[in-house]
Amino acid sequence: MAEPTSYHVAKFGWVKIVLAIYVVLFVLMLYGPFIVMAILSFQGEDGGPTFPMQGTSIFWYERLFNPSGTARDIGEYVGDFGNAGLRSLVLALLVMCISTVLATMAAQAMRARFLGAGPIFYLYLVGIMIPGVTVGLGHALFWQGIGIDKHWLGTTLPVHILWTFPFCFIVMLTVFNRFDRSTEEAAMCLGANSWRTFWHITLPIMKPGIMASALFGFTLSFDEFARTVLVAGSQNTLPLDVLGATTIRITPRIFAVGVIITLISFAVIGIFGYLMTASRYRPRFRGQEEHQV
Amino acid sequence: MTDAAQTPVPALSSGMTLTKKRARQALLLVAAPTIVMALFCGIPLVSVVVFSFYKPWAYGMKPGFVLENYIEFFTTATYLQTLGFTFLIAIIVLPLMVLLCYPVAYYVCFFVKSERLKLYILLLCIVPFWTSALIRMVAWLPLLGRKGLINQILMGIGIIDEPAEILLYSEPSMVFSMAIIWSVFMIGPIYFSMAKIDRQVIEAARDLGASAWTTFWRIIVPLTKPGLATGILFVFVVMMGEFAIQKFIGGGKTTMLANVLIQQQGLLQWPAASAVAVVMVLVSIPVIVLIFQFVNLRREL
Repeated sequence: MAEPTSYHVAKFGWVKIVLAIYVVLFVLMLYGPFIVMAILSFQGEDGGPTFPMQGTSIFWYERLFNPSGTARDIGEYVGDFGNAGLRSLVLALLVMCISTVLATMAAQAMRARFLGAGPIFYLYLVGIMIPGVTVGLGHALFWQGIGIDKHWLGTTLPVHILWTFPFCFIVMLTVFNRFDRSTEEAAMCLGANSWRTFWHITLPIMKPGIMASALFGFTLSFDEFARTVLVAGSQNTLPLDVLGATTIRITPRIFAVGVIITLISFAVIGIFGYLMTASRYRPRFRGQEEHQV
Repeated sequence: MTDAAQTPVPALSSGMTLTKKRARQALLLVAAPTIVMALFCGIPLVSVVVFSFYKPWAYGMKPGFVLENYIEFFTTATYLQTLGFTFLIAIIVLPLMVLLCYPVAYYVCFFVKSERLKLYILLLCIVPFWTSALIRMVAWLPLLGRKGLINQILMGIGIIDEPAEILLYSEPSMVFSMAIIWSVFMIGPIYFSMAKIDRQVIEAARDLGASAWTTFWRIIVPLTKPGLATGILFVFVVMMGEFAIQKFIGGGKTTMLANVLIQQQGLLQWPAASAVAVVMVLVSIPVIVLIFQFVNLRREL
């Protein structure tokens, strides 16, 4: 490829430099808070939630796993971060599986032309269009109306799927729309039925897309609070415990929670990133490269 | 999208029956997700509408059909102010986000040469989206507070003598942190519509004597309109349902519709909360419809 953008560089070298500095500042703004939070989570025992550091310690991390100690003495939110974390993990895994399977089905279907495809597409988007608190309130009132107790899994799962499914669907659709149909047609010409074609041809090629969709499903559910807060009932998910902790006195313990949640997120992103690159479609035989999509 | 009718497969009897068969399979596949989404979307919408007509009661509600909750909402000055304030914040945040995010997408798309570096910068911008938004709000506190890092630095180098109160629990800091926290919703769509621009179009403009500025304003900006519309759509809908940023960083002084809803439901005033929820949906619809005039989302994907 020639250098179609070279005129930018030749005439507007300073634009490039200014923009580069801006992008660096922008990224710093995205990650600066994380860094400050991480440093402050190692605040000494007598220190508060701001600088200066009163020495360094892992006191606030210890407090996290042993909340019964002095939490009440200093007017801190008690919380049960360990169990809340487990609940969030179970919920996020379930939401991830359900919304990815549903999104794969929906995106595969949308490739064909059928009556009602347009309205159905927009129906899926309504899930993210309804304001979060409205969704939470509506579901909460519904369960209350029919006399079912709110629960962190049973009544929370629907609101999470409503939020994650549209994202998973959009991800799958962008992947499917860049998909070359000729490979599938070749398989069908060779006598494979549509199910075998899907299982042996479509699905392996789609794997990175499915992984990306699962990543969205997991992370969006794991961190969701605006919809969850009204439907979770008495047992909190992890974001709800964080929300609770910020309503009373803020101590560096909340930063310790933040660091751990962020590390979990990074680990999940890392795992999916690895799976995505590892599962990328690779030709098994020499000469097959020409035919890959 | 290739269609079976356009590219008939020789080994199969006819393209037409294949299309029909595909359509039937598609309907079977699409049934489950459609039923699930119709139910999960329908439940909250129907219940807030129904309960918004219920009679308010000291501790909860009584079945009925009264307009009391809506009359209460539209005759109380504070609620109307909140409604106006919600839109005011939207009118400030959306253009601010376009200004903040467009240059990032532009730099990555047109100035970064290496595909690998492009991917890394984009990933850097997207990764925070996969982490907890709540934690990102909390993480701003030690930076912005009265004794926060920014105040300490500003006082340290002698720019100000007293801590600036405006940094935390104020509207500007709330707007700014909203813009940063939701930036991925804007950068992503803008970048994808920029990456789609045929470089030959840009070259043609240059060959015809357009300056870099003219090329930017007359070619690149119009062609990224769908991306801008998608970004604005995402940010708008997320903003309508947000209540935590106002509380943490805005300090709870300035409230938006979502805060009123949370407050009412905390007081067990469900009919009033439902009326707010209905108002929220009703005022969002014209905005969403307007945005859809600028983008055909189905074709963009």
